Amino acid sequence: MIEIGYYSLFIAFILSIYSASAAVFGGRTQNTPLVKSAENAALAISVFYTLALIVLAHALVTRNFQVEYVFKYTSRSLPLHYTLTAFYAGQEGSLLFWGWLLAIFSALIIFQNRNKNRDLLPYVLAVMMIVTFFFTLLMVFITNPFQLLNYSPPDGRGLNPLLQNPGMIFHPPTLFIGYVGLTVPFAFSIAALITGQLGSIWIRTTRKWTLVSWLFLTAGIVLGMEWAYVELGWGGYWAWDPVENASFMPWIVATAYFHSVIIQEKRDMLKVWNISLILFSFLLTLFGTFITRSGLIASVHSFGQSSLGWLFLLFLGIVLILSLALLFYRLPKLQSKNQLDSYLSRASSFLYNNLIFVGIAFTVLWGTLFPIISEAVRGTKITVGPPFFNSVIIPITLALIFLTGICPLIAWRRSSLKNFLKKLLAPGAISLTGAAILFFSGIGPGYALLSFSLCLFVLTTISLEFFNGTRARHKMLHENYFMALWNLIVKNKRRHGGYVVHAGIIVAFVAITGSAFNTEKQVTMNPGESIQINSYNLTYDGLAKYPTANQEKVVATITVRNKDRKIVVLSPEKSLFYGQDQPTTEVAIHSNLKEDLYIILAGYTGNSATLKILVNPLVIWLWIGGGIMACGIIIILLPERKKRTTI
Amino acid sequence: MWQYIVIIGLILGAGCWIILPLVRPSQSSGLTGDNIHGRIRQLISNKENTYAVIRELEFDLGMGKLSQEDYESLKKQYMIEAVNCMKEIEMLESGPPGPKELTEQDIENELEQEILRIRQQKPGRKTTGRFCATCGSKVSLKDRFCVNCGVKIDSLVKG
Repeated sequence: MIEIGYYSLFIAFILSIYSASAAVFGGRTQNTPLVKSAENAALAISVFYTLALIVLAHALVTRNFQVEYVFKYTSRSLPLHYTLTAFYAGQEGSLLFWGWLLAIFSALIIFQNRNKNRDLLPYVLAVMMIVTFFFTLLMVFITNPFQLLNYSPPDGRGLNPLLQNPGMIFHPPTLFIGYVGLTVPFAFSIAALITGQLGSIWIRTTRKWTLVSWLFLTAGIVLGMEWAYVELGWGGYWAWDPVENASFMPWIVATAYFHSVIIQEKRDMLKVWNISLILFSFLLTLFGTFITRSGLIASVHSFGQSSLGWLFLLFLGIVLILSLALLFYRLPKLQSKNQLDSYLSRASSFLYNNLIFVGIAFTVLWGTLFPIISEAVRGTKITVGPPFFNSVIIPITLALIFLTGICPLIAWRRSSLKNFLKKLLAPGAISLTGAAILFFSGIGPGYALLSFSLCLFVLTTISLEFFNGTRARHKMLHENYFMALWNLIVKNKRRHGGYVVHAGIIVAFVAITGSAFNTEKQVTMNPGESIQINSYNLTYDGLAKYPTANQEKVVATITVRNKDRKIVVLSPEKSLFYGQDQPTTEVAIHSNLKEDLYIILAGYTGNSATLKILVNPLVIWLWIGGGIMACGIIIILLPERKKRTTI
Repeated sequence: MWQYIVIIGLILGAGCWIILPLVRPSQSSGLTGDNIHGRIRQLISNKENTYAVIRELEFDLGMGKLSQEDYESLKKQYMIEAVNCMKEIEMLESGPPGPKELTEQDIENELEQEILRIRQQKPGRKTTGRFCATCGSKVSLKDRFCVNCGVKIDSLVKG
């Protein structure tokens, strides 16, 4: 059975070479049968990859410990759902999962473009197959997921306890789908450069791919934050860890792309910029994998470390050089005859926000690479932590939020200053009033006050946009208010879905700003003792120790009261998984719309427990904001009910 | 042993599947070999974008974000862009030596009529059982151009 897995990969490797070569040759010589043959080879690859995937999943489920990968990442006591997540817990499995997604996406592209984009398709296919070739090469010759041990161990080493969390079920696959999905617009952009069909066709064709990839990247990042928050036990959800940054960078560059691409579609401008953005979005996904695998930069994800990182860097370098060479070759055809109508227009504001997005991406890249750069230049590895990122990113992001609020107030093409100021009046007044209320309720001047005020400003402008749009439709088309609101959204899903995404981001940013008001206490308590933190009174009731199927647990019990009213009993834990040296922490969280009470069992001696207690305001809004963002994307992705017939 | 039989079977199956298009070439969905088709699709896409822009201009005017004066001048500018697209589509579709070429004024008039007619349409208008040969959209009896892709209605197929 295992042999089928390896040979499937080997055949996929051979076929990827054939498919890429046949596609390029067929495209250049206009040889339709050859291109069809390349397509069939790509479809066959998706079958062989699926077969390999099934074989590894079968080995995991049947706990075939003779397979080295199964031995390294599972054990007999590991529950079935975590046994399945072990598929992408290690390097070989995650490469197989990545390759399988690439193969499936390639097959989907072929089906989608059976009767369109026929001139682009050979080169799109070639790019997809070259990337597939690279991943398959790694598995066939360097890190084989089906490697057998020369004996059959009775049990496996088990899964890293930090990975035994529901987050493991959703976070890695969503991020993988996001990463791999970005290969599709990249492949189309390269095909556009090769064929010289540099208009907006390739952009329209890949719009949904890019949106879905962005949706999955967003979901992956938010799920990762949630996982870090509940599992790592330091009280936060984002630490500017290199691998967190690695997922954030393609996300921010893809976000810039979403905005600038609208200018290309509407004004036939920014072609070089858009191709560069999508190129770098893709390259940054490879860069993220390089960081995870190389072990060059210390990270909480260093369990994925191996020598493969350098191969990713090599591949990244080759792709970068070839793509830039193509871009320079096509530069004369990428120049636009059009200009922006006005500097005070939504189109111009998209340009400004693009500069900010790229500024943020560059800052994060610089901060992530700084340890390597400092070591190369001065011989000392200097790691820059959250203070650096926060001091640079926060002001830039506030400027971005301000622009997000300004955007809906101005027309796409041209706005007069008079109209703009008139539109600014109501949201400006509301946000200033909000700022004054916050100031007099104790939030002193500083970033937090500015951030809350700007968030209020943006939410007001977005709400007014929906309100005024509904009213305008009601007035112009005599629709009732409900229908007017519904039609407002569905007639321009991209604009209004975009506003919903913005609202989600702002809600999430309100939560992030809330972290400026975190309260933290660390105490050692004996049973029966109480402590007050903000409005909460915590009584430590005692400690319980007991074994479970795969771990030894130590659980503290804490009764939480608010003004003598019992709210909840919380149980932070420490667990020692069998076969592991380091205990892990399971935090206890009581969450409401205002704040999270977050308790960590930091240590224990006899019956006394050392507790780290935090009150983190507004955290729940981060997850709600993530949900709103997903809703916005789903609105944009809603299928057209019928073709456009009105102007 | 059975694993090897399965693998050999799969290799043979995949081999036949890959070679099939080379020995029995099909007629469908080939490469065009020239850039005219791509250019026409690009022009149609540009024209659709221009329509969308005009629609947004009207909405921005209704929302009070745009002055009447700006609206008029921008609308004119985008109308000219749409006219140029249609002229080029007309030229590429008729090919050299083509039938009588439309003048800019002809196309502008047609465009104005088209926009006016579409605006006056009621939802659920009657359509013929015919479809545009280029994009597959249903078209009404009075349509002179496909309202989705802009191709002239003489290139229609019956539904």
